Amino acid sequence: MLRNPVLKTNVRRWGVANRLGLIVCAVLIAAATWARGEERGVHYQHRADMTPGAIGSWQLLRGGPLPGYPQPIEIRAPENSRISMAVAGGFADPQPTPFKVGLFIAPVYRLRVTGIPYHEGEEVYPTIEVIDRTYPPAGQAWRFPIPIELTLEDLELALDGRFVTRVIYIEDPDFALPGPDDPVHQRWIDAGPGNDPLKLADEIGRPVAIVRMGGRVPIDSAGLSDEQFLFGSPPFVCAPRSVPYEGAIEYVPSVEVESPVPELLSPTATNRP
Amino acid sequence: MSHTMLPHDRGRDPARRIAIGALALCLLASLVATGCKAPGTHNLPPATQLMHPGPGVDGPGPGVMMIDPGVPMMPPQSSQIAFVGPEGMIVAWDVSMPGAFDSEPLVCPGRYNFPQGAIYRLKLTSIPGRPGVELYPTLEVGPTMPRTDAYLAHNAIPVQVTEEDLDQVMTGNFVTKVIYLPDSEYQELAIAGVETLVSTRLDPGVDPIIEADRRGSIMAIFRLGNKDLQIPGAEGDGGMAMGGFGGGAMPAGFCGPGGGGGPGGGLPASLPGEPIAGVTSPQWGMPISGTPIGLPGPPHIPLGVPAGLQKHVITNHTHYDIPNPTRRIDMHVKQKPGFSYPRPANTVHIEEATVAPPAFFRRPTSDHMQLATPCGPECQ
Repeated sequence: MLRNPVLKTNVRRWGVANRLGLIVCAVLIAAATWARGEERGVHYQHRADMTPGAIGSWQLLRGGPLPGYPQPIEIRAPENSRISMAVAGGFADPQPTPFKVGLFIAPVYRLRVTGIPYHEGEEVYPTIEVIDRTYPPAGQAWRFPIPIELTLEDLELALDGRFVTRVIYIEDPDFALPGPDDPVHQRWIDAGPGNDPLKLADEIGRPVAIVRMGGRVPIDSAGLSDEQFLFGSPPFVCAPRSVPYEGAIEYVPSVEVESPVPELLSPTATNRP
Repeated sequence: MSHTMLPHDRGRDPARRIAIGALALCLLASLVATGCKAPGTHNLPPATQLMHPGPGVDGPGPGVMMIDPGVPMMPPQSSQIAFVGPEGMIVAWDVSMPGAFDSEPLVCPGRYNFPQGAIYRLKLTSIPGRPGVELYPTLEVGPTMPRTDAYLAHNAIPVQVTEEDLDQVMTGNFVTKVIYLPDSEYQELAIAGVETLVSTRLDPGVDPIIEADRRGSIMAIFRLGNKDLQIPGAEGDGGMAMGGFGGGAMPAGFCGPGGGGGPGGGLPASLPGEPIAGVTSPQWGMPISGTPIGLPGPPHIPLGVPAGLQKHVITNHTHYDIPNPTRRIDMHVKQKPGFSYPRPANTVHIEEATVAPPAFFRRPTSDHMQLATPCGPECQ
């Protein structure tokens, strides 16, 4: 066994320094990486309080399969309430909810909500702006609409003169809950004071629609066209009465599932010939 | 055998070299990981700083790419005013001529859509608890701004005359109420509400308009005094209103000498209109006065005395590295998997062989015999 007394002495001394230095460096790198990971290198151009219709117009400039695509949405409202779409300077017949309709990207659609529980005779006029689309399987777009729920709390806030902005987003698969969602009610997150709900939705997923509502109501005053209030009554696509789809297996999740990881759901119906 | 290390040998100590190398490597890795703004790195200012490139300069500078946001869908050009209270109070304004106050009486709580960018003279009557009192306030409706557009499209501007306001007016004070939408930094953006600044509740010397403009975006100003505009000998300008957000707004048809619109009716003939960058106002984002670095100089407000500031020097110490356009780009393209074809033929050997079958060109056996025709008498 060969021994070098000089190397032995120095290796011992510098070995301790090496280890300490490497530990400090590792901690520094880990902290710096973590701190940098907190930042998102994104320069946001849009805010949720921008002019209605502006964000959608910017999206159309982006190109791609956005223009001319009627994005199916499903509007849900409290029980017994009715939804009317703005059509040709007025409002169409009230429809029960859930109400499916295909909206184009960029136009602002004005709705009328009537029959609000505990507020009979009062009406709220929210707007919907679709800013992005979804990509469902071919021929099954109406099976997977964007759900937009007008909660009773939001409607009451609007009746109280508050301005409510609701950003609907598609959940990021990396953050999605590993379980079936509530098929009746839409989950929502309060953006909190000072936070931009559009930016928050972008951090969680992909924003696809913005719903705004307040206490403004249409007033027939001569010279002031209702078209301004109705944003020009943009066209929309009515949902087909029957939504046929072929070659798909319908999964009906059970509402009694309590585990976050549901059991394997067996197909209960199939239209496969 | 003993061995001592001399001072000049320390630099060649392998252990020390390894340690120094490891520390240098760690330091370099730390700088790369932290994104330190060391010379040689490239960064971009935050979006908020891009929108305000310098003091006194708003909007993106010449180096920021501007994208046409498209034409928004017809923003509302009228603001809905909700007269909240006191309940039962009647509000009227001019329709046919100044000072007539011949609009359809609006009973509080009530709403009406007023065109923006104008001042309206109102008449308040039937005030609960104050019989016989008539007040003539003015309502200044501001134009839509980008920050208030979404709110005004969905909400009404609440205007309320409180008992405290009436007490102040009856004692000869002047009440200014500024209704504004607080900036998003000071409000709950998801559920936003307006706020009202009242001059009588502020400290003396504090202008409610300036204060409200500092906190957010002004949507309407309600001024209330005790001047009676319909007593005999009045100047008859009951409906006259001047000034406004756009400067000199005088909405004809509602108030002002140029009236004549229908009831609640036509759009004012002389609406100031919103400033258009590059048309009615300087181009947005461009400095008004030229300086060596493109920033405007200090404000010059002559107040009867010569300006004290005679010269200003602005030096830009900002480090910038804007490279020139690339004159040549080498593009190397490689596709995987590539293309593989068999080598083309370069030699062809052609050999034609014709095998001749044995042919017998003999007369068929069946044809060996010939039948001789008997000769007739003519050949004999």
